[in-house]
Amino acid sequence: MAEIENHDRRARRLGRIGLLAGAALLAGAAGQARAAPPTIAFVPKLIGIPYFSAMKQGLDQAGKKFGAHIIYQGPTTASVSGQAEIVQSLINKHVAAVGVSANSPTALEALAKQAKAQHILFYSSDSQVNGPDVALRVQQTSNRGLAYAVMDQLAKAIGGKGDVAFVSGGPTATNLNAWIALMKQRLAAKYPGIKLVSIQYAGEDINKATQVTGQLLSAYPHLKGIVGINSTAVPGAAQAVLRAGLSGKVAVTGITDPNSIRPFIMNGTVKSVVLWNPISLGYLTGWGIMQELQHKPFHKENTVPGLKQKVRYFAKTRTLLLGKPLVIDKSNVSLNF
Amino acid sequence: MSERVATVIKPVLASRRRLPAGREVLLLATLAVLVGLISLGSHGAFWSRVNLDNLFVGSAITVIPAIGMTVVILTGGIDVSTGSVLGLTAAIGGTCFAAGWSLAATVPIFLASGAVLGLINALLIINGRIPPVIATLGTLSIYRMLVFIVLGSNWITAIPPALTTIFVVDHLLFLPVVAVIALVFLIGAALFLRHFRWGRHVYALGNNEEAARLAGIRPERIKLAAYVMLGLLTGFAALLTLGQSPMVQTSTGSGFVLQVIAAVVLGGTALSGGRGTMLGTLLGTLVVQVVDDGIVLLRIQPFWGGVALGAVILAAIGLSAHHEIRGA
Repeated sequence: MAEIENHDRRARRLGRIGLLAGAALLAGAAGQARAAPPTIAFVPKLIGIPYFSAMKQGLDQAGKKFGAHIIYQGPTTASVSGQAEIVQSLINKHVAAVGVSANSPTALEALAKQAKAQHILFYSSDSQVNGPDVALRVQQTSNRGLAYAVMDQLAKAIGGKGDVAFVSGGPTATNLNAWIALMKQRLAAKYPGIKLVSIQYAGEDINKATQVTGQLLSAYPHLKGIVGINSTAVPGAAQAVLRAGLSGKVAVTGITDPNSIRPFIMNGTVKSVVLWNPISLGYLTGWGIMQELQHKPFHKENTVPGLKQKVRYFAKTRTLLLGKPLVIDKSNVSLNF
Repeated sequence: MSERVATVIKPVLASRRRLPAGREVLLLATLAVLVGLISLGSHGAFWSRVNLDNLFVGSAITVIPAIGMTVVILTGGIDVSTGSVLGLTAAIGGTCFAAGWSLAATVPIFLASGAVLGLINALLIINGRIPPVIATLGTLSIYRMLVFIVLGSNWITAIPPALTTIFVVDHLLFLPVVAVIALVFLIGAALFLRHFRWGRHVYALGNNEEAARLAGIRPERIKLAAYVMLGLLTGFAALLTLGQSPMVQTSTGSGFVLQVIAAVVLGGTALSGGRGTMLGTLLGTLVVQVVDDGIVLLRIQPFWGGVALGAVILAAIGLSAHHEIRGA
């Protein structure tokens, strides 16, 4: 008990220091120091997956640094109604800010409105909510930047030409489908020699991804590359390629995290994959909310204490953009997220 | 045992031998037609080594728990928690791998965890007198939440590659090792059901529990053995799943039970108990897997996969119901 109180006091003290530092950095904005640290709640698409745990890690770091109490709660499956229920209960608890990585861009609009009416800041991060009542959006990287980076890695791996297939997650996932569309665009514009022969869907299930990739390898014997669109599709595809003894003959790349793909990068089946840093995304989210709560304005380019890169802000959509995608290969696969 | 009870129980025991082979023949024909169509449509890609291996590994991992599920359903019960048992067992075993345990030391952990989870189901059903579907619906949810607790929102990727090599990549008699194991289990289970007293009691129990009890059969013991065996086999399947794809996720195994029950029911085992065979279960599993395989090989839009599978199940069951009504 004493330990917890101590910790609380320390956190509060740290928080005050953080507030002062923040106020000093951004002249002109009067920080509204509060007696107790504000509570920021984040509701991910689902809990129990490393990606959102990494975001939470970043949020916690920001909470510590800038003086906020972080609540992390989410549904156990990526369900729209499950997420809405949790957001509703957090609004009823009167947290200072509540936000989501949205399971649907539209279904949470009503809750955003309700939060605003009760003077609770509503934000979205990672996967956005539409509408005028969202006070802040935090975007990992532009969809275009990410999709193009993946196609560039693919082209590099297969030498710019050949048949390729995509293995995606859910057929209705907004962000995955947006990336696929942009990837096709990049292929058509820059790599006319690369032909996309099939898109399969394996959900968030690595076994299904392995199975589907094995079937793709049989159905298209001349396949040169496979692109996994979500974090389970890439290791699943790599496992199938490895099992078929095609390591080095069929390239595997895509969007996934270092923890999931590490064994395959180490054994050479996968050369590189693309992602952003979810810890930084969580951290930036925490920073951005504190700015909003303290009524400090964003600039076109912002210096965030603790982040190396400058962060751009788009006033029209109220969006903070973390930055360029991160290419993960043998040199940095030891990153832990 | 009185004469009267014996006359009740005798035809029940005998009915097993008069099982109509209609379902098996129908499934075999379905399978032949499917394979023929897919071979033609895929220009022979169906017969490639990669595809056949894929098909056999997927079938083996489904059919191993399906053996246990067949017996459970034959006793008149059901277990809908199998996917969660697979997930929790994988999480527990995976945690051991992550802690640096050897393969040999961890295999018993998989089997024991599966058996214990099956035992809990059995005790709830037998001692708790909770209907099987409700009891296992409860544990489906509890076991799944325990997966979240055990994994603590991390995925386990530290799975020894030897697991893949031994069970999935290596071959024995032209088949992946896991498929040979599955066949041995199937034959063992079929012989057990046919030639051992306990095996015949399984059918008797499923046909009429009261009559079986009067005939001196102890239903509790048979049910206990059936659920524990299903748990054990599911624990083994969890190990094989990690050989197939080396990662434990919080979602590992979700949706798996539908695949298993679909294979068993398509194979002709009656959900009311007392009727069904291991051969049927094998054929049911193969049909499910071949349909799934064909969707990709025939380059059909993936959304049609669910539709095709549903149609095959409805057609097979519809046809055999028709056949049985006419035959009766």
